[in-house]
Amino acid sequence: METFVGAPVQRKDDFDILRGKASYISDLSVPDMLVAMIVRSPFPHANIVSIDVEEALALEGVVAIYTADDLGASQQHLASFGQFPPSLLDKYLPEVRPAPITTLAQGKVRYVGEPVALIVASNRYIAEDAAEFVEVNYDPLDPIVDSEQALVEGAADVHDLESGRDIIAQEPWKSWCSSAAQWDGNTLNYEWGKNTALDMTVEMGKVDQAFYSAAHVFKDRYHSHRYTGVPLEGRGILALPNIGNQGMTVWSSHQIPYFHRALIAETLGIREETIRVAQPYLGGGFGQKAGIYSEDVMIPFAARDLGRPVKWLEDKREHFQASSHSREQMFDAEIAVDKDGHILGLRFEVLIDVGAYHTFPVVLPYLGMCHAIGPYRIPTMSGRARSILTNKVPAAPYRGAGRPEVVFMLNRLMDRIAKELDIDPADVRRKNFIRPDEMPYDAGILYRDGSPLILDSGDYPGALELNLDAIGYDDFRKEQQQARLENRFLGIGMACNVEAGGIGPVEGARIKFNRDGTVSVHLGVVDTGQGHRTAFAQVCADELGMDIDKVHVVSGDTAGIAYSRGTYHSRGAVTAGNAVYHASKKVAAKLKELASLLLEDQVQGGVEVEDLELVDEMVRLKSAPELFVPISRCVGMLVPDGSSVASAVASGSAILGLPDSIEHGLDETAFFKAKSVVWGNASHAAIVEVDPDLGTFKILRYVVVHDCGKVLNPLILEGQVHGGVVQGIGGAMFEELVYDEDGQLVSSNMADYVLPRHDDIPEIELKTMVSPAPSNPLGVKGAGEGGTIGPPAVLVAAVEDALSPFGVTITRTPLTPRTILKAIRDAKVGGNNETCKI
Amino acid sequence: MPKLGVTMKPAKFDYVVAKTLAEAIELLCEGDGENRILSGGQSLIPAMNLRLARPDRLIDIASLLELRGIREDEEFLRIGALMTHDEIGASQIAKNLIPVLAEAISHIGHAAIRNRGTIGGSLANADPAAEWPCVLLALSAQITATGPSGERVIPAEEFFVTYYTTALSHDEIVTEICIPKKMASLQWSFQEVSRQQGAFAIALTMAGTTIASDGSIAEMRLAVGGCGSRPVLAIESTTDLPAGTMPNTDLIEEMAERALQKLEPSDDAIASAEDRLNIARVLITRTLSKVFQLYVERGQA
Amino acid sequence: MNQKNEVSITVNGQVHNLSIEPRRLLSDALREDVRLTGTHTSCELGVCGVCSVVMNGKVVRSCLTLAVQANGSIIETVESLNEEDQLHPLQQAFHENHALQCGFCTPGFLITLKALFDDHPAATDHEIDAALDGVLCRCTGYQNIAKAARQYRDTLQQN
Repeated sequence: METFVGAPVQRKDDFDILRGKASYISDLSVPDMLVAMIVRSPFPHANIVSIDVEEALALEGVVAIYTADDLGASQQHLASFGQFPPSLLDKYLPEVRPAPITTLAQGKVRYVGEPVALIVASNRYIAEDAAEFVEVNYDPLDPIVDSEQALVEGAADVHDLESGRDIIAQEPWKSWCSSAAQWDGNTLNYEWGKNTALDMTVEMGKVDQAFYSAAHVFKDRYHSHRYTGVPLEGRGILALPNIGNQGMTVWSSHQIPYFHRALIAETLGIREETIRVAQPYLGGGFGQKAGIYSEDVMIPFAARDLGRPVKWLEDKREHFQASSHSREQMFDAEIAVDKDGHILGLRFEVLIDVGAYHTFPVVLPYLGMCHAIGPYRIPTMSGRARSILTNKVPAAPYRGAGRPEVVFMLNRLMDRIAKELDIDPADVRRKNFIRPDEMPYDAGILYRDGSPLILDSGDYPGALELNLDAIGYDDFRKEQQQARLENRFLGIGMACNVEAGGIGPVEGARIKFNRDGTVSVHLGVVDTGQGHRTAFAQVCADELGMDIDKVHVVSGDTAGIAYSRGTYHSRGAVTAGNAVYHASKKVAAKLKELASLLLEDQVQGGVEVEDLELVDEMVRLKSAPELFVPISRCVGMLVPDGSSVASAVASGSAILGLPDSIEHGLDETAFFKAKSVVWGNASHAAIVEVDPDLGTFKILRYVVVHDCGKVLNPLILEGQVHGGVVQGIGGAMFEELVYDEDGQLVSSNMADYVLPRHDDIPEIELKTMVSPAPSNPLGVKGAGEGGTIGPPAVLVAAVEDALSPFGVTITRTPLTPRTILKAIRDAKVGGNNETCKI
Repeated sequence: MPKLGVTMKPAKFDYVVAKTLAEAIELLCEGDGENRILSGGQSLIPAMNLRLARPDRLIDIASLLELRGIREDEEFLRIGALMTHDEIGASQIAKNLIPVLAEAISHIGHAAIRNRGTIGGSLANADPAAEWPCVLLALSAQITATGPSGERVIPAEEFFVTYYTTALSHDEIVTEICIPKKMASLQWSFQEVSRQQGAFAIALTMAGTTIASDGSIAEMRLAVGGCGSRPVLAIESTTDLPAGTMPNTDLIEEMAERALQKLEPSDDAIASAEDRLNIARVLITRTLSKVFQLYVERGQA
Repeated sequence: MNQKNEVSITVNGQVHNLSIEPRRLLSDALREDVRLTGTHTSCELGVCGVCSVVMNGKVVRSCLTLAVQANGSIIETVESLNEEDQLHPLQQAFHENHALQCGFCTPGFLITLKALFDDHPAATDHEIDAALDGVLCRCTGYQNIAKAARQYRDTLQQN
């Protein structure tokens, strides 16, 4: 029988999608359904003086309008996601300031787009009509539009300190955000900085000494700009109150349905058990659907209040103001090296613009920190991260989640070493890689989950060599010289990175056989298009010896499996995949146990369970393959059924034949406990041609060497890498969320926010290396985010290399004509305009 | 001024299909509310979805056959205002006379937009970074506008007033675009710089020339778009160049510098105003060089 | 301003008579009144191409078309490709080449390619690229979509 894991199995869900029969949230419609729309703040910072909804309510077709004052106990601070593990709090004593969002804006608005009111009407056209009649009186305040402005003494406060102090004094905030060591009795023993939601320094080794004794120190300032995921399908929710208004069913386009359920329960004051959150097909997620949002609780609130189904869809103009932003980070960084370019130490300070609310305290800053330590050997490090509050859309992780930004900084520094010491950039990397023979390598800091950061597998030097060979690095310099003679500017860039995936602590899978002999795999993680319905079916089918057509994966439905964490941090394959493996093994064990009893009499000395295998839908003796029990027979005996239909009568009597020692049922749940993350790695390289007169460029070649451990499905893996790389390229070249000095979001629709198209992208050449993860049975490492990490570093390096005759230095993205032409101008004048502030 | 909420559905309006041009004009003048003409809708409907445009009544002229057709007579290539970009690009008559039109049209959006968008609609929209305004200005086109008092001809040089504003009065409809056939004798080149196909152009240029037997420039026209509130006729040989001017690199540079004087580009995240001027300079230089080179090649062919 | 217009559109060979507000977009009419949800909407500005349908033989953006403008028109949506029990060869090419992930943009690509190949069965690689450039995808990076389109073109050429 064929094995499915590792094979390029074509996807099971294509049939429905291709025929236009897959239901996305926008396709769901139920009788009696109302449609909601959010009235959003047009000001970046203002006091709300009054809200008048009378005229809007009077419009025909408008059913209800809610503001914060109408919500009673449901007007609350909403939880943040991803709290600090205690070990991290105790070791690094981060100064965390809670600034959570509230169900609706109350008293004040803090960013353009902040939800102020919810309109419920019979359709969206009418709701939009009504929105124009909602009179909100604002008293505008000065907005803070960037991190540097936010820190200036005398600048406006995005949040007042008192409210933060009140919040952190209560649970769960107290234990999420602070260590016991940070309290003197009931008072925090430190002060928060101005508009600073987090201030945290991670130190490793004697970094000052390293810098003091270094032959060379290079410093610079690096900017990663603001951009975001923009899944083609926006967010959406359909909340249906159950009959008798006992709880509800919520369909949502959401990556963390269990968190969503908890949020609803908490905010509405109803039992979690009575809420079911389920997923239709999702049109992409990328992190934007794993956020903390008012709509997630407002729509269920309205449904419950009105006793009718309420649906909300985020349109694409709203998306830019309503869904999380990401990536805006500014690094002041310096690297110390010996005379040959070996790294002695790394010091950096990063300002992360987290927008108006602090919804993801640990992820962005700390994830960045962790990815500064590999794949290069960094013996000493000091990194200070500050998350800064500004009057912009709140930030949350977007595919890559802090890794692209820090990898950009680190690889630019490597290129700087190369330039200053006149060493080939490839050699600088070669000298500094952590080698396979040094593994497991303890990086000296904790990972975001609180465990020691240990790089345990991966061939970082090998990945670079494979990459450079594939792109023809040695020959390129000749080609580059030749082109320059023809006044053409070609350049090459490279970037290497590690990538943590599969964060725990846990994820579950529930596998059950159905009466008809098919298998259901219930998962809490969500399929946003990355092929769970196929990849996890492959794992299960292999373990159970079943044909993959009989294995059906249902993901993201809280009714299917009791507990789950969700889809983020490239954790699906690792955590859910291994949970599927374990749960399958449990089911397999039961089948084997039953089969061993059924075959007992036919084998002298009885049947050893270890001698049984599941193959071709049979439980069969390895030592005597002619002796077997069909799985269907086992299912018939084990699976109780409540019907009295003719076909069931037969199985009814079969059930009576179940040996006494075995319990009925073929429904097993297992959890994969992830001790810590797994570490993949990649090497990206690109060749570009730049037009220095126009400030434009074209990518001629792009090569990726990618190691994500064992590959469940090479087709799906390849697709994930392609997609990630193109998003990374889009971010590096085109996509930019632009705010003007008044705090208005200028790029607020898909005409202004330019996404990469087919003709912008060359063929991505992908090479796969496999270093199995030692810490999980499947050996997988996580592939969802990797592609997005390399492109900014690679493309900036390549463009800079192309323009090296001009002596250009580029330390920021995006690579717009503005950035490129300014870099050329600055080089002519002699020196960078940026000053580094360390 | 903060923008109104986030809408993607149009506000309410009345809708009527005009059966004749006369009826369309009558409806345009009628009533107190705002009446607007609907042809392909590729500029108007997005604006209505965003509720930036909120007409009280839309007058659909798409079925007016009298506004369709491409033909040539003694003096002009005549294009009906309702011809779509795709139809004009595919027209053999247009290709034979002015082959550069197809090149310029290929920069307009993508196929789906070109299948519905009309030349009349594009002109009435008057986006300074759009292709048609720049192209028709270079070609010295004459735009026929029909209103309650009849037809009048507005030369392209007078048609574009400022951002999204034309010389049309509120009760006039663009009915025909006439390109003088003598423009066909010029060698043309069209160049555009944008982030990607279909995105807002950063700058665009259309240059045309004829060279006399002694090698001097007989005719020269250069229009630049995307660098100000309307397309600019940056060079016109009758006013800008003395007779006997020889085309060479120095002249090209000088013409580019002079052209830049007439441009007022904006500043945004993609390119600063200074960047745009530099980009325009490069584009103008390249277009002029190209057009001279093509002219020579055409002569040799 | 509360008029309703009577509109008759032929969708995938079937006539539908609708009574709708003039402001109703063709995309919403197809999805909610005709109940064919295969056509999706995303940007609603004509930029992303996800809403593409074929109207009177040409590919258009249904989000930039008022349903009333489509009165009397013949419209084909992605569902027009559907055969009884199996995938249409174009759909099959997408399946074999893993040319879809979340699938939200897929109808836009299928319809765009259908329109292209109905008109130019021998479309060149360049023409295919120009057509694909008209639809956005956030998941696949386009590579496999281009492969699928070329494979389908090659199949057409063989037959």
